[in-house]
Amino acid sequence: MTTHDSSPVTGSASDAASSSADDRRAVTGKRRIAFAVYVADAGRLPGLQDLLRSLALTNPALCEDVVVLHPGLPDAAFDAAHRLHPRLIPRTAAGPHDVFRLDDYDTVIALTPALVVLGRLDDLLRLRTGVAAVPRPGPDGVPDDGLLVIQRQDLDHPVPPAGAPDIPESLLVPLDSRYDFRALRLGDDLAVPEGVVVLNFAGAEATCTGPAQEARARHDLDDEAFRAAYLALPGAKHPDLLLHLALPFPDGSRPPIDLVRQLAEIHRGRGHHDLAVSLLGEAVAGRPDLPRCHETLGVCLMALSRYEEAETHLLLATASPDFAPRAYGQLARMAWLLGRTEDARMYALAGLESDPTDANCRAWYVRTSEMVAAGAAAPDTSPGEQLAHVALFAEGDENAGDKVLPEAVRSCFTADTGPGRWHQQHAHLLVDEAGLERLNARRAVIVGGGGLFLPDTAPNGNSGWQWNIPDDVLARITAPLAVFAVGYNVFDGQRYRRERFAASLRALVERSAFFGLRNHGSVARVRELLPASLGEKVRYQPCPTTVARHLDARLAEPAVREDTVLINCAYDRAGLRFGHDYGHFLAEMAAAIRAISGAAEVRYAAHMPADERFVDDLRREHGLTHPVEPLYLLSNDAIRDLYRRTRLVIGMRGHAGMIPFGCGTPVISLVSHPKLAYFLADIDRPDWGVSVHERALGARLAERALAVLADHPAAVADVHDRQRTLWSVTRENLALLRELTGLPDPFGEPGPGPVVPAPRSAAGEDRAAPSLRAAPPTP
Amino acid sequence: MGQTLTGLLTSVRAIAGRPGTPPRARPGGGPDPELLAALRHCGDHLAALAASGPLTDARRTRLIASIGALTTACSTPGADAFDALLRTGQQALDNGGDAGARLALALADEATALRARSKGAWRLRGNALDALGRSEEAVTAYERHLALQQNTAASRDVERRIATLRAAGDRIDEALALVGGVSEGGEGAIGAGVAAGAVGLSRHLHAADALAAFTELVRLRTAERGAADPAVRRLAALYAEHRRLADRDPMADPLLGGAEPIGVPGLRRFLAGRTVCLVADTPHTAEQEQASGSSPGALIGGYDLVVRCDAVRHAAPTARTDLHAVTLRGDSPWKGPRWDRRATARLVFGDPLPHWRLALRSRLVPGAQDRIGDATLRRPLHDPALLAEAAAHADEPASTAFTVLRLLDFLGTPARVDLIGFEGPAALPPREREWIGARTGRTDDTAVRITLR
Repeated sequence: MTTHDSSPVTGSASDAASSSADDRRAVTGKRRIAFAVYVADAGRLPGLQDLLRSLALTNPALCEDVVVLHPGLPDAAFDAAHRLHPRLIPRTAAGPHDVFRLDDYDTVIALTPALVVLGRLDDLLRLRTGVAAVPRPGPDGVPDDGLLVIQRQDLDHPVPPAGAPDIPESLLVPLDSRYDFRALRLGDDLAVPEGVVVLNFAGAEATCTGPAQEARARHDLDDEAFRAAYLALPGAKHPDLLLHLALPFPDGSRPPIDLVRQLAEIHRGRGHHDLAVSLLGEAVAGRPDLPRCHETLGVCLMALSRYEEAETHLLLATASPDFAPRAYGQLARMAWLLGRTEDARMYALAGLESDPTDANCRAWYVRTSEMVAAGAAAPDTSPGEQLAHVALFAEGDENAGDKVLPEAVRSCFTADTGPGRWHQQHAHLLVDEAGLERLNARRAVIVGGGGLFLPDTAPNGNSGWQWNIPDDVLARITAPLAVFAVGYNVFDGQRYRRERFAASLRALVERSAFFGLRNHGSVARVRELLPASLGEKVRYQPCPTTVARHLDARLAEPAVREDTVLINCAYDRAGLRFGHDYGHFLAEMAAAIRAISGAAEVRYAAHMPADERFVDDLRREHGLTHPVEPLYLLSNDAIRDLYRRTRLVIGMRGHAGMIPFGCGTPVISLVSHPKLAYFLADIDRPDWGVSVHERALGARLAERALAVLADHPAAVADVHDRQRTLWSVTRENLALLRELTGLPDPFGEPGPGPVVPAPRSAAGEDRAAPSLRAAPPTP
Repeated sequence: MGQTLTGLLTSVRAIAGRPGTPPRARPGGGPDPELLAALRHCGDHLAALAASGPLTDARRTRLIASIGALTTACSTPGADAFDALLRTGQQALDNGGDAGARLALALADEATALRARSKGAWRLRGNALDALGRSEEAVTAYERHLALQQNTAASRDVERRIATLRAAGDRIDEALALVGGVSEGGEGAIGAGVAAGAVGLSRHLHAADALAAFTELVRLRTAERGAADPAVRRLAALYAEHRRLADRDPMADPLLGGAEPIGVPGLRRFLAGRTVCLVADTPHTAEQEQASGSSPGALIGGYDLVVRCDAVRHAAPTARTDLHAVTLRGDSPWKGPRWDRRATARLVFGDPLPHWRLALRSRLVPGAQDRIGDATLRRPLHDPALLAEAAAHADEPASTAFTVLRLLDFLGTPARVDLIGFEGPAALPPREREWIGARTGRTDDTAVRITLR
């Protein structure tokens, strides 16, 4: 294995480079954490390696960048260390005190090659202020040869302290001595006290021989022994670390099947379904009796749109009563997306046979039963009079945002938003020949809105984004095609293989007569993936939920408001949203809620049942109880009405901000995803957002919320004002779209004249082309 | 126990003789030869048990006790030893393992020889053959039982079992037809017949052998044709169904008569704004509740939701139950009685998940509840997403009432939670009383009602 090459694990270099395009931590404020170690000379390298091994073996679920500062050692000097850690970054430095100058990180845990980690570091990762260290008795205060936890934000810019002893006392956060315990204190015979987390051999390297030295020697392992020790650890392991230390498998031995499955699950979680399939396919060949492995394999094959193989493997997974409910849920979904509704229903029923309370199978059973019933009574409508609508359509207790959104899109085009005027094509359904025929029979095909440019939810191998359409089928769409208010929704730090997506995107843009993305952030991201000639076609079209007051006259009337504040949080991909900061987030939210409760009743708005986790966590960790508004059970009118009647919405979901904003209600966004920051930038109100990683989240949130409540009419007026700009852009775009659809303006003539574009818009970016009909024909 | 076992073995040998030797003739005719043969089997089994070391298992103790009863019956002139024989067979089966099942079969053989029209004997024989994986023979024995059984309700389990065993056999037949059924000389036939023949799969095989042969067939066919082949896909489905049927009987109604599964959000809504009382199941409370015009009866009737726990023995069958909560206890909680008391919602607490699922599958009665708690509600005290308390000591599991109470308190949405009748015999363990005491808003005059703050 070459030292720097992590390609078997994380993909090619170009993939790694392209994945950085999705690192928008500057947008969401996600905290960047690193370990930093200064290595003064080659003689310290064995110490560095002991440190790295001890870190992995005591904190197997922790993997952050390890920046190795050095005076200019050759690259090859770090080969051995690279083998021990997947995120090792050697960097030339002027001296040990450069640990204070790592500008690309928010939190730096400075270690030295004389340290060995013996326990969990989680508490250090949760620190958010000052510079933490174990104080040393005497005048020096902070040692310069021990552990430091540095919060870059608190260091004086532009001149950071020259060294640890120069840190002002006001910044010091004293740590318990177990975080930097001097081995010298133990001499040759004293045992290492229980609870010591970091043992420091500074000044004791040569002399110490007793139990302390034994604690260090335990980590002096060769690569093979270290890897074996790591893999044998019980409990959670960090995916990066696990992949790095497990692969490649040692020659000559068959790897344990459970390890193979874990690695495949990691690949799956990262969207590398092809890697998972090759790993697992080989391992389960000739082994029909490994249900759990067949489940993972089936799910990955499904993500690659290799549906026939996927079905067989998922069926093999159902052999186990323990995995059958989940596997049948997947089978039901797959049969549904292939248009085999009756099969889907039978699969869902079989899943319920294994667990009659399984929510997923139950939902599929209900949905497909309704489809079977509805199919028998399809409305008699002329297809040529309809528009086709490709989007995510939520049903049952699915995301409330995905119920309001499709209706808002439709109301931009027609007053009647029902099945009489609209042919619904769920984005996840595979578009086959019959599906293509149905689309082409319509007046036009509208794709959107919502974050359809998202690779990982319901992945498919045909497009690499949410619409499950192969390129050759897309190329044969003859009805006018409009992409409307779609978002590029990749998370901070989310890595995935984008080749398929980029190719499908190009084909889509080429085929589209209108291509409007819901925020300028998405416009920029998507343009990066397109050749310049196509990039010009990408325009800005705000999400129609943000202009709901203009779409529905009833919403424009003044609202009678209750003294409530609604809060919403989202928990999909919680790891990506919160990183190490979930505990901090909860505590800060509890503080904010207590402060706001004096001015208004705080209630919780759940867009999905899973959102209610916030209420449970807040109850358990902070003793707070909140009434829940289950939006996922409400009609669209009731959802808008609820958001219209409250005074303020503090929301983490995109549509928990956009829908109330569209109804004329002030919002504060809890920013954990770039899309929220993009939206706020578009309306030139970045201060309406607070990062969930923000240190003083509670205080800032309370301050802003109370300010909104204190002068509510002004806040509402500001919302209306911001909305006018979005509506103006929308009206311009809709005028163009009417050329495509040939439909009359549902809002009557004339509308309010265009207003000045949003301040954040790049010049010319939002301007409509003279006519879509005049656009060059697509091949 | 060792002495008891040895003593019992001596008595058994004294009556029935040693293996290979005819029993001693007893004055007055003595027991039937079949009973003596049965006793000899018991003796062999006891000897093997004695050789296997000390006995601590309760089921073994029960088996030995029933062998003792059989021995006594055989040596008591005029006593009917037949029932004792069947009971011993059942205990041998419950004892588990192949040895227990073999003893049960041997006893069933003697029982059917003794009384060919005993439905109990045929059922025992069916169960024993079933446990030994001899499915086809088990079906035959079960059918003999059904032919003698007049009570249709009592025969439902046997009918279900026959259906399961037949269904498993049918999956094998279909699989064989699938791999051998391609037209002669057709592309697919090459290798297929070889595969089926090579693994020797048949519904007449011992269950374990059938599973192994089926696995091998799927392996060969998948390697030969690939997972994308439609026939391989169907074969995989049959294989999986066959495996599951080997584990448990299918549910008659997976939709539970339309009951809606609820998770934490659903329960929160169910409770929101309601006044709730937990009623202890004691004769006293039941009597008071039933007495027309009684104040406790009116008191309970005044709540929006009445919660009852576990097996309700004393409250009238018609007594209102809005939420029934039950905790699974013991090694095989799926064998308990079915939950047929009508309740608006039912919560089943239990761990681990496979046991919980099995219990739900076998004990829920369609139509007996409108809502049923899902897996997210099965361990509220210890679930990290809910109360997240450290696992309790196995010897001090929480009472069901306490678990419900903590869950209601955690969700925080009921308007009020009261406990009724939890004194005296129904008093909760001290640890739980302590928790309640710390949160008690008031205890009213009649000392029957504890109101949580």
